[in-house]
Amino acid sequence: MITIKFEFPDTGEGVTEGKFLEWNVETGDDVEEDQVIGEAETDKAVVEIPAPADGTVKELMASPGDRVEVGDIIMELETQGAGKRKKSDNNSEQKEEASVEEVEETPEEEKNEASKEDDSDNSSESSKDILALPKVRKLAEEKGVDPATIKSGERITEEDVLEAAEGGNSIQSKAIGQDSEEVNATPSVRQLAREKDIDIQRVEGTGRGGKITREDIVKTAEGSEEVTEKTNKTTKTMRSEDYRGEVQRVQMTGLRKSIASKMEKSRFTAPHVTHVEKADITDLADLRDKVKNEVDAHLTYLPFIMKASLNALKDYPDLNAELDEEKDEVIRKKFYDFNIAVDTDRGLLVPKINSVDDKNMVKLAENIVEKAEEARDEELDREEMQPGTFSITNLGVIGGEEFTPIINYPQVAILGIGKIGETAEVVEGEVEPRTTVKLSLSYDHRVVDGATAAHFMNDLVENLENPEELMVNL
Amino acid sequence: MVVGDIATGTDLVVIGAGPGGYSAAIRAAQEGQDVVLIDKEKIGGTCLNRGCIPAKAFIHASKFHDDIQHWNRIGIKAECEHIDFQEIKEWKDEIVEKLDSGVERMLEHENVEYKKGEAKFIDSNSIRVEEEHRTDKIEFEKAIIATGSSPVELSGLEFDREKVISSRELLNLEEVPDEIVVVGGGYIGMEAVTKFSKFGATVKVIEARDRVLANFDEEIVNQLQEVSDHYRDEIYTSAKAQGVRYEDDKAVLVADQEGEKLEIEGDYILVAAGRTTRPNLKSLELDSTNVEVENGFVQTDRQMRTTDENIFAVGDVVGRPMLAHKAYREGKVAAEVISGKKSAFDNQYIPKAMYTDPEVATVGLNAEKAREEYEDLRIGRFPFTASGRALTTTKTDGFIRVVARDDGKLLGAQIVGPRASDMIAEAALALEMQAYLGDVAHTIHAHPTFPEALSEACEDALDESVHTY
Repeated sequence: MITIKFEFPDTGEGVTEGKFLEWNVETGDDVEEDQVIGEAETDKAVVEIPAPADGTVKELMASPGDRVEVGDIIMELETQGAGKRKKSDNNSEQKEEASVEEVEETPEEEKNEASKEDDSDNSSESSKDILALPKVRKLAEEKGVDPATIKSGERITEEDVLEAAEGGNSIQSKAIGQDSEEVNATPSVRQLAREKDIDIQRVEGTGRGGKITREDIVKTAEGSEEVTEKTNKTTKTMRSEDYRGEVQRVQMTGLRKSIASKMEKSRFTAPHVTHVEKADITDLADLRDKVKNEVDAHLTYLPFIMKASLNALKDYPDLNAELDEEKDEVIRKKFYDFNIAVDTDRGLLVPKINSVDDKNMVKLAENIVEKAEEARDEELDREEMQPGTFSITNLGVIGGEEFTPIINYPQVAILGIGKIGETAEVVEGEVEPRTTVKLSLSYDHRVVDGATAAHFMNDLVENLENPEELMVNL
Repeated sequence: MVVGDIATGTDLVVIGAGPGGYSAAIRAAQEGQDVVLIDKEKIGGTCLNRGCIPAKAFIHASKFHDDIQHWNRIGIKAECEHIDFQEIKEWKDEIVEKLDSGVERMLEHENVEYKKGEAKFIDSNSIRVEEEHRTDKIEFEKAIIATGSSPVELSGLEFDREKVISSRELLNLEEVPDEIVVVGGGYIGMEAVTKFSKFGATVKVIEARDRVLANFDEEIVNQLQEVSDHYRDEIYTSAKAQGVRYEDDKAVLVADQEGEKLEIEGDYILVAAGRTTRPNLKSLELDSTNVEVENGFVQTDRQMRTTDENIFAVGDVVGRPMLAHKAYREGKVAAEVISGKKSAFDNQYIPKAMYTDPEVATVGLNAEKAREEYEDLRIGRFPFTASGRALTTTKTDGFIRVVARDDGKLLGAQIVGPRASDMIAEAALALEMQAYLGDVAHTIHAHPTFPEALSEACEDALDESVHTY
């Protein structure tokens, strides 16, 4: 009889703690390996916790509502033998995401003897415990390193494993085991694995029913991480299948996936702050009305706002910049290429308008129309989609007074234009209907401070409220 | 004339020239090894000389009776004029000779040196080969033990080679006897029944267990017994052979059937109670090496390495099933590992074929075994009465059954019927390729053929069959 101390599993993606939600089992229950025994919530998702092995629940050590950290022991499980599957599998423990510490119930004397050999400060339960996160164990397996040979008593890190692997502290694939049972791979793939010195038992198959494909072996051999990522995904089963009603699943398009990953990257890399300011553009509106019939181009407010932004950017160069995270340098750009958000049938596109400072208002207006059309007609070429230096999103045209745009990373600022309309404003003590717009500037607080952003916005608003100066460049 | 020890050196010594040994020798030579192959008898071992091949030749010849019946039934009136058993035997010997010389040519082509003699280990690096007129000492880097197995001898029924015989002598009988008593209702015994009953002999089988062919599904055995009286009549189960008594020209087997004394008379008593490696290992003097033997089998890893780092072992000596096709694969693996290749005997499925009439062949798990591991199964069955091809040959006895996991992954197949031994190949391939029912069912099988039945059985397991319900 072996007691397994089951730790709160590492769900991957850097999640280190979560809130324990509920147990699906009680003390004394028999559980099967992989059976969902409880649920916890991390800041990413609700995750199901699978049982690490067949056995009987000895003790539940976490209660609903508890904050639990990865590595905390949440349950003790009594098993017959070492995490044995119904289908023979001597590596079940290694396949598991969940971290398992197996403590064989050895006679006291033996334990004492074991701890005598190990002089290190033994604060943990038993000297032969290996303290390592599952991903570290997994890495150790991939590198052929026995974690027990690295160190005991302290937590083993990924670096330790890599060091040990380089130092040749590796156990060669143990003479290709005695039993040849149930490897889910074809004979030639098994042969390939041997040729590449890969223990096929430890390869996670991506084929049907977990079949290990030729590609899985090649990828494992190349040290690709894709295979490992796959396992992270499988254990993090979201409770997505319990819908009360009918649902429709829509496959993400390539563009949708690209938007998703860009937004995620930006949102979780750059700490966003959004600064909102109202601009009274009554004079600009009058001016625009006056001149719009004189030019051929469709003159919207956007070229004016671009020009106003340009002027402000020149005064506050940190907003027309990018952060070099590795060198800890801010790259201030002396050129001004604006990305303009365009809504298309396929999703959001951000065509680029180059050299805003070299173009007059009419030219800008023409450019905008041209690019927006190209975007909608799917005619933008790659170059025109490349990131510029600053972005503007004109969502207010559709609706919304103000909003919090997400920075077009690696840029550091994006300007959102709200709905333009008449509002009641106080002018020289009198309430007057005025044409106003709310401008929302999201900026990367790593590069730009609130004061700089406020100054930039004041500058921008001033430019818009005194359009004559802008018109010099028309 | 004994010349004494003349030491020669070689890379690899292979002891035993049966399927495991000769394939190892050839394969290693192909990989550039200097190989000496030793056998105290003929190249080809049990399988080629006194097992599978001659037995199958006889079984083929014995079909004449059924064939003639069959022709007559469909309008071709013919009869058997005369059976020249001597000529059949010569034909059988020719086949064996052809195969043996084929192997010899391969060995010559690959420059494998063949020595006829008995090998004994001196230590983990050298052996002594006792040949007819001389003794050689050969020093080797590596050795492969492939000495096979011999028929088990029962106490009280020791082989006298005259009346109490093994399968070996049975295949060399000069004429068809009137009566044969077979001790052991396994596949060797039942194949003996197949051969000799059809030539007109009365074959009586005594089996210690409560049914014959205990290693096969009851359903399969029932099917056989239903088809042919030979597998049903004159079968004595739960009977233990105790001894032999000679009476005139006959031998009388004395047995105990659940407390009652049985006396069964025959011209010969064939003891087919299994095979053992003990005599085949004993003469090797393994005590001079670090090779460990447990329960009669040499212990090896998946690369066929024994506990002695210089010595490998393949075939019957390493364990069950004692089948030539297992030995072939093991021999090649050992040769490749010795040649520095990363081979391993990692086969998950070893098919079995039995040449009864109809034939029986199985691979993987049967339903009973599968149920021990999986709760839900998909089982498909297809009877040969529904096979167009079987009907055109009037061979419609039997069925194919496939066993799969609930998600469709194949676990095993059992075939009893015409050409079962041929059809099992596809099932074995499917299993090693990790196939699902749909893979076989949705592969187009030529029509009308026997192997269609396998895809039909898979369709049945998927509830998609259009030919059975």
